[in-house]
Amino acid sequence: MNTVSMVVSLVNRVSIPSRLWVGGAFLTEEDDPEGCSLTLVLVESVFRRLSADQREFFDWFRDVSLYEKYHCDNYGIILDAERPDFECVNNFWLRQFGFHDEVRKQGIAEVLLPVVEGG
Amino acid sequence: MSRISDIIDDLAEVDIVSQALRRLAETEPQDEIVAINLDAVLRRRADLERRLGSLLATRQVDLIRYRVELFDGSDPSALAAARSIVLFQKLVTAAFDAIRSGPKRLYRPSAENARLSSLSFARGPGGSAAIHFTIPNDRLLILESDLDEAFGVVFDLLMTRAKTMFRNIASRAGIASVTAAHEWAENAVLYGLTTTIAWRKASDERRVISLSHSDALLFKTAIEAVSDETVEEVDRPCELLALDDAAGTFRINLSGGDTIAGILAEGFPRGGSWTTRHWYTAVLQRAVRIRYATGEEAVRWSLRRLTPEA
Repeated sequence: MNTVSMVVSLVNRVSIPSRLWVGGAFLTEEDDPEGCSLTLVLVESVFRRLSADQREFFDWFRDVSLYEKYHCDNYGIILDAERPDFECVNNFWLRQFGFHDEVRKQGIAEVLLPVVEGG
Repeated sequence: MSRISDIIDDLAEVDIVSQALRRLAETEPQDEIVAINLDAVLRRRADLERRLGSLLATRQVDLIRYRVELFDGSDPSALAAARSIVLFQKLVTAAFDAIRSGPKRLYRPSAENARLSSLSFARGPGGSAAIHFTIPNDRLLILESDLDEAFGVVFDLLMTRAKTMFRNIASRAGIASVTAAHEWAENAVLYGLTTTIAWRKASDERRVISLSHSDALLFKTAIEAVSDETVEEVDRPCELLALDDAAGTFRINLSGGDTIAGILAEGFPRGGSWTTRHWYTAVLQRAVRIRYATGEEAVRWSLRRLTPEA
């Protein structure tokens, strides 16, 4: 959970309007979950208006692997229903997290960012 | 093995989506977002690969990726694919049996060796995606396991085209392994299959081979040209059943009850007086030819001398 808190506070600090998909075995009842995955999801209009600092953070998050240090797989994607790749990308990530999968039946938690104080 | 098969499914999905995004990137080269989304998908692939490698290492299993397709990339018939899998399993078992119990001419593995070399489906046949098998395999620090050696032999064998190499491999893995490989190739030729086989222990695919329909034909033909011939001289007490000087043939009954028929050797004295149903000591030449393609042993006898029994 520390990793999730850390990423949430970092996104809060740069204040990127986004969603953070939190997935992985620690959301299940599996013994000794081996890690988590964090996917930072932006819509196109937000991505196009990122400030230099925000863009630097987004690129850092996409480029740096948190696995070695935090056992966390991290991804940054841009998902927008208006885009031609929406269906392909959206369905892919949902299936990767076990949605629409009768056998695995997993899910993810979605955190809306930035978190508003007292909200 | 469900987690392994889940990861294999996810990897297959990654490949489909990354192809779609690449195509989109080609049509929209200025679209930075497609590139970002493609990066994320490829990164996911690397993470899944890492996770798969770690699972294989922890569970001490190997992964075999097996793909059969027709020359144009389309799916083969279920019969062709199923036969290809069965014959590949036979090849693996023949090699494993030879490594553990010594080379053999014919395929007769022990029940234990057959069990220990049995592949299990990690991802069954479906569409044009590859089939995946798992098999438990020890991780030894220094030495190779029996299964490592067996897979090594299988890949070496499938890459071989030279007679001397076939003989060399047969000395370790038995003619039975070469025969099994021939049977496998025969099926590939019959149905026009292109087959890709990859063996993976942990992080990387250790060996990969792809044989097109014409490769399989070349391989099959090369094995059909290989045979071993041995000649030895033996003498046996026998009862003469027939001897035809003109046709140059003979038939004798050995004391053990076996009947031998063959030809009269060049040096056999012609025009002699031989009595059928009498006992002689026969000096025979036994020529044995073993065909690697079938493992069959053909014996030719020729009679060199007959000496009346005292």
